[in-house]
Amino acid sequence: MLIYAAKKGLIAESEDIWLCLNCHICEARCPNSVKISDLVLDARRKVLERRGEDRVLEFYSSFVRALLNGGVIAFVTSSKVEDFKSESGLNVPMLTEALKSELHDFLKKMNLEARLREVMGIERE
Amino acid sequence: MRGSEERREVVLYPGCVSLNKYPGILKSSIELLRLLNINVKLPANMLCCSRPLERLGIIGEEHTSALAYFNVTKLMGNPDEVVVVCNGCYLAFRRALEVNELKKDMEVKAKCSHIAELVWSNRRELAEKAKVKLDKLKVAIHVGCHYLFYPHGSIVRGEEGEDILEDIALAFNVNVVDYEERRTCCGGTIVKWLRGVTSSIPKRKLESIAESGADVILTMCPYCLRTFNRVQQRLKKLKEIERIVPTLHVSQFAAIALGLDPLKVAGLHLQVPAQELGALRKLLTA
Repeated sequence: MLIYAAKKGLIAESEDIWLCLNCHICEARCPNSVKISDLVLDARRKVLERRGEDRVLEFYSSFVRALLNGGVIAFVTSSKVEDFKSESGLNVPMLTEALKSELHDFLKKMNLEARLREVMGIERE
Repeated sequence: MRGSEERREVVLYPGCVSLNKYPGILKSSIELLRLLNINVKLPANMLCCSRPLERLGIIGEEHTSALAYFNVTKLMGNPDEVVVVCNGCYLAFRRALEVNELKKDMEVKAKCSHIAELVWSNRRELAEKAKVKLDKLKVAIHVGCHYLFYPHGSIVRGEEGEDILEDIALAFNVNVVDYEERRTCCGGTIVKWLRGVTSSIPKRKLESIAESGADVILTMCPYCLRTFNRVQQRLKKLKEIERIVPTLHVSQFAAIALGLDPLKVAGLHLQVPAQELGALRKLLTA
C-alpha cells in the first residue's frame, strides 16, 4: 500500500513526510522489508523540486551554502573549543580555494551543483 | 592488538559536530587508536559527509556517495580504511564504499569502520589496561538509529550484552541500566520547523533515562550527544527536569577508563555543564 501510494505521488501530498525521523526503526520491523525511509526521502525530494515547501529551504539554505563555500555545516562557536582544538592539533583546515574549485567541477560532473541550484535557487558566492 | 611489523593505518574522519563542537571525542579516538597500535591520520581538509542534506531531501543518495568519494580520494589520499566517530557519517561512508556502483569508476579501495567497532573488537584487551574503576557507574545506553538500524548490511550485535555498547560497558564492569525507550530515536533528526510538534520525542526518551537512575548516557554518535545536551539544557531552563544526565561518546568513555584525562583528552568541560561536571568527575575518578 505504501509503495503504491509512493508511486502515485500520494505520499508527497501529505505533510506527514516531514514528521519522519529517518531512524529506520520501521524498516527493521517491516515484515516485507519495505525501504520506507527511501520512500519518504524520495517524496521529500519531489516536494522540494517543485518548491512546495519553502520552510525547509528557509531553514536549511545556509547548510548548503556552507557546504559549497567552506566544506562543513557546523562551526566552532566557542573559544574554549577553539583552544582545545589548537592545543590538541585538531585544526583540520577548511577547503582551500583550489579544492573548492575542484569540488565544484566534481559536483558539476555528478549533476549535484545543478541539483542544489535547482532546489535551493542559490548561486556560488 | 597487532604487531608493529604490520601496523594498521587509518584515516580518522572527524565529522562536523565532533570537530567543531565536541573535539574531545576526536582526541579520545586518536589516543585509543594509538593505544591499539594503529597509525592514525586526519584528512588534509574537511568536507561534510552531507548526510544531513540527504535526509532533508535536498540531495539524493548518489550525491552523498559522490561526496564520500571526493572525501576519500582527494582529501584522505585514498586510504585502506576510514574510521568515523558518528553514525550519520558511518551510514554515508559505509554505504558509498560498499554499495554504490560509482565505486568501480572511482578506484576507491577504502572500507569504513566506526570507532565503536574498533573498541568493541579490542574491548577485553583495553579493559585489562583500565586504570579507573567504574563499577559504581550506572550508564544508560543509546546506540543511535543509523548504526543500530543500519539498512544496508550487517552490524556488530551484542555478544555478552544487548548491543555493541553494552558489550563495551560490560567489559569495563560498568552497570548498564535498562530503560523503556532504549531503542527509540534521540529525536535529533527532527525537521527544525516542526520542533514544537515533535519535541515530545527526545523529551520522552530523556524522561525514561532519568527514571532509570543513570549517571551518564553512553552513545556512539556526536549528533545524538548534541541532541541530548541541547534538549536537556532547554528542559532544565523551563524547569521541566531537575537534573541533566551527562552524555559520553564511547571513545571518551574508554579513554577515561584507561586513565586519560577527562578534561585534557576527553574534553568533558566542552559538553557537560559546570554544575554536573564536578559530580561526574568524582564518579569517573573513583
